[in-house]
Amino acid sequence: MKLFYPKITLVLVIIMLSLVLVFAGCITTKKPVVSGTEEAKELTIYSGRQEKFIIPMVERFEQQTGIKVNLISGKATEYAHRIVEEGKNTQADVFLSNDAGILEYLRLENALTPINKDALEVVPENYRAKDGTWVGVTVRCRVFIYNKDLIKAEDVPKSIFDIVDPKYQGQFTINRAGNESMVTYFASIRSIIGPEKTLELLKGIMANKPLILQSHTDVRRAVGSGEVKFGFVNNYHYKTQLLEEGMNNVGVIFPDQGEGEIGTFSNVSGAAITRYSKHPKNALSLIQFLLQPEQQKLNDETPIIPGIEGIEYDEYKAADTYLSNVGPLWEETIEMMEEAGYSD
Amino acid sequence: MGLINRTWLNIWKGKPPGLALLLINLLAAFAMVLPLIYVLSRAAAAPWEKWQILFRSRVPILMWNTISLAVIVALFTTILGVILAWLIEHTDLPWKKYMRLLFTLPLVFPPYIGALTYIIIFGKRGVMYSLVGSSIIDVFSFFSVAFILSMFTFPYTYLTVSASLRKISGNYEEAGRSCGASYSSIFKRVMLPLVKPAILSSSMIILFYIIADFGAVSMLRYTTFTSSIYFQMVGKLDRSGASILSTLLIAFGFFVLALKAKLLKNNSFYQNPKSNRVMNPLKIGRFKPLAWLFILFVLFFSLVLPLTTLLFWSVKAIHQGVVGIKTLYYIKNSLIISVGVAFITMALSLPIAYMKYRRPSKITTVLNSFCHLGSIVPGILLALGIVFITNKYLPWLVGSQAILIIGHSMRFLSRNIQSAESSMALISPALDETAFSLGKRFGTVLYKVVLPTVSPGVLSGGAMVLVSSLKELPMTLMLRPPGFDTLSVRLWLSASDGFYINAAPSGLFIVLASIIPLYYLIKKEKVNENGIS
Repeated sequence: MKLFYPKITLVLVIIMLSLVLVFAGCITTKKPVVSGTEEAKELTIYSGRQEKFIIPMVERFEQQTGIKVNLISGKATEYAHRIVEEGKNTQADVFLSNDAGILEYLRLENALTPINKDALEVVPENYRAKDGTWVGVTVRCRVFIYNKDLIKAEDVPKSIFDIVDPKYQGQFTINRAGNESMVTYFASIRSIIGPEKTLELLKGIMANKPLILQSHTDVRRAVGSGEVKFGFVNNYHYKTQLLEEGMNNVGVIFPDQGEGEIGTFSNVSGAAITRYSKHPKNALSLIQFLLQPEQQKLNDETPIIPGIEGIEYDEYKAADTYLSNVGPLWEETIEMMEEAGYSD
Repeated sequence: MGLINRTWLNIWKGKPPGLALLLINLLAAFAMVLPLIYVLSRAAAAPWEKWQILFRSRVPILMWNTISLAVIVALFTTILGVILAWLIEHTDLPWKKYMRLLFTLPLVFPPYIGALTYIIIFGKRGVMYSLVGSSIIDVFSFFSVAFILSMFTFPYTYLTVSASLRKISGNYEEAGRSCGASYSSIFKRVMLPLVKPAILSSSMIILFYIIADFGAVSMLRYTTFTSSIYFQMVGKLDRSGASILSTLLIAFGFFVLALKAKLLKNNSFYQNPKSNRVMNPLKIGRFKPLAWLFILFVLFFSLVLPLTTLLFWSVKAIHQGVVGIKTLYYIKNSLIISVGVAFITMALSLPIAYMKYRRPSKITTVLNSFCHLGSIVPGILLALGIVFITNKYLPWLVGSQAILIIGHSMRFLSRNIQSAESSMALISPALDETAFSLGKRFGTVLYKVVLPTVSPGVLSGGAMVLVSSLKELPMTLMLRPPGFDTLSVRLWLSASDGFYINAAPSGLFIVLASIIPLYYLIKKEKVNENGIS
């Protein structure tokens, strides 16, 4: 009797190997979505924030956790669209936004999943969604940046409502209306002063023929280079402009600080976990990671966590708005901006 | 049944196309029309208030911006093109051969790259400012925008007008002279009417070019319908605004086409090529220095200035380490798309051109004109329609490179068909019919008999498509998968953040690549020339 049949052995080995492969395949492809204790070590981020700010964080996160991150950067509105349209098939686990309004849009579209409460407690209440579906990661407030060669500090408007004064005609620059944070800004003003006055403000601004530019970077550089006297940016754009040699003779004004004025509007850049995320645990660890003081310090922007050592926080009176009131006003605000001719 | 059969045969004059041929043509035509229909239907579905708001606030301004710019540029390029063509073709200025080449060269600059170089030099804090303390001109003013766009589009007028000037027989001039007419009256009453169709059709090309342009106008901070549609599209959650503006743009396009048809009516002239004689060049004597001044002025602003700027700042950018491994990656991405697009349009152009020449019928005419839609419809409208359709019906296509390739193919298919058609017109039907009579199958005939004879046309069309796709900006921005950066996208992103210098190397690469199709263009001109003489 022959004990060794090479052909049969070969067939058996092949069968066993393929079974092993199939099982291995099952383990990696069938990720435990709901209950599972094991989650594949990967994470996909749709990011609407500038890539150069996010990449260093993502690299640290990968090193610390061993989770492979697939970072896709672009325009927040576009990715918000995509997350809604992709529905259950979405690739995105985490959505990073440059703006709270667009996070609110996703919340209202029911495209987000609530983040674990314990993770959120470190963040002040007005910088996160009421139902915990999104959380701010950094704070950015709307300020005037001005060119010291061209205009004296006392001549720069002290309130957003001052820039409708005809004497400022053609002297300032703002971002395109297509930028999410412009919509959120006017939506928050709308939540304080009501629709009529907001429309009036918008029309006044447009009547003053501002230079409308493609991006905040373009705005701060136009001011820094002396193309226009002042512009409307986020506070960190001012700090970045100070680093640009030859174009850094600029100053900053926090608007609406006076008695009875509405205060400077603060927006956030934020993060959320998508409703149909395939890796919710990894997503949560990323968000927790972003909220740790070490990462908060890495930001060019103001950390959202108060009282971190070694950070100089800007002192200003913040506008009394809840970012989570902005979402429902978003569409209406866009219509008002269009009405005023401030629409693309 | 018999009746249907007979009508069917009647439509095709007894030669109905094979199923495969008909299907390819149908599918191509259908794919071209669908996005536009979808854009229109989205606009129709938009609430009435939305239309009202737009009409009250944006439409009048956009309408005025777009039309005034397009008309001024068309006017300016016509003046430039006609003067240049006349100087080079009909006067005794020397070095005609080289000048013909030189005045074709500005076409290697897509207007947005041309605009980039002007911003680098004349921008508010550009090179001029750092050299002399003032930027001399306001590069973002209306007339600067018109001037810059003219500098990179006038060759279209120049080429068309000079081709038609060359065809004017010397007989006409002599006839005029023998009747005692002065040169100026011959120019006005004989030559101008003869080149009028050329002038009109080239101004139409320019008009459509400016209406469809996105990159240059937005870099120069000028808003037209097209750029407004783009910003509405990417910046808004509600896209009905973009579709309403698109509908208005389509309507405007039809108006211009109708106008052209009316103007060109009763305007055909026939010349007898056999009695064609070259005209004696006019001696311009003391006006020569003036003519040279004019020629050098145009050359400087359309060629020397942008090219040196691009070269200089590219070298500077390389020194600063802006160009790295990533640049290779952008080049690779650009090439993946444009090579794919060129292959698709080449493969499609053959059956479409074949159908036009071998199976002519009313149906063919309609399908064929649909396939040419890409040449008149701004890329941004196609992209908008494609985005709508893929989001709704083909979600698995969203965010893939395939959609970018499909989009570009639709936009540039027309160019490849045109060049395949011009080759196809030259081969005798006897050739392929012989092959059929030998019992060969249709596919075999098409690719073994027809293709080899028309391949120069198909290939040069493919080369033109490849470069057009490399340059394409708005469609690429709208359809690209997230994070998929090509050279043109990178250029745009740097420029929209105001980092104009970082954009120079990508611009230089695109410009260098654009020399390839120009080579074909010039070769074709030569062939035409030889055909005449």
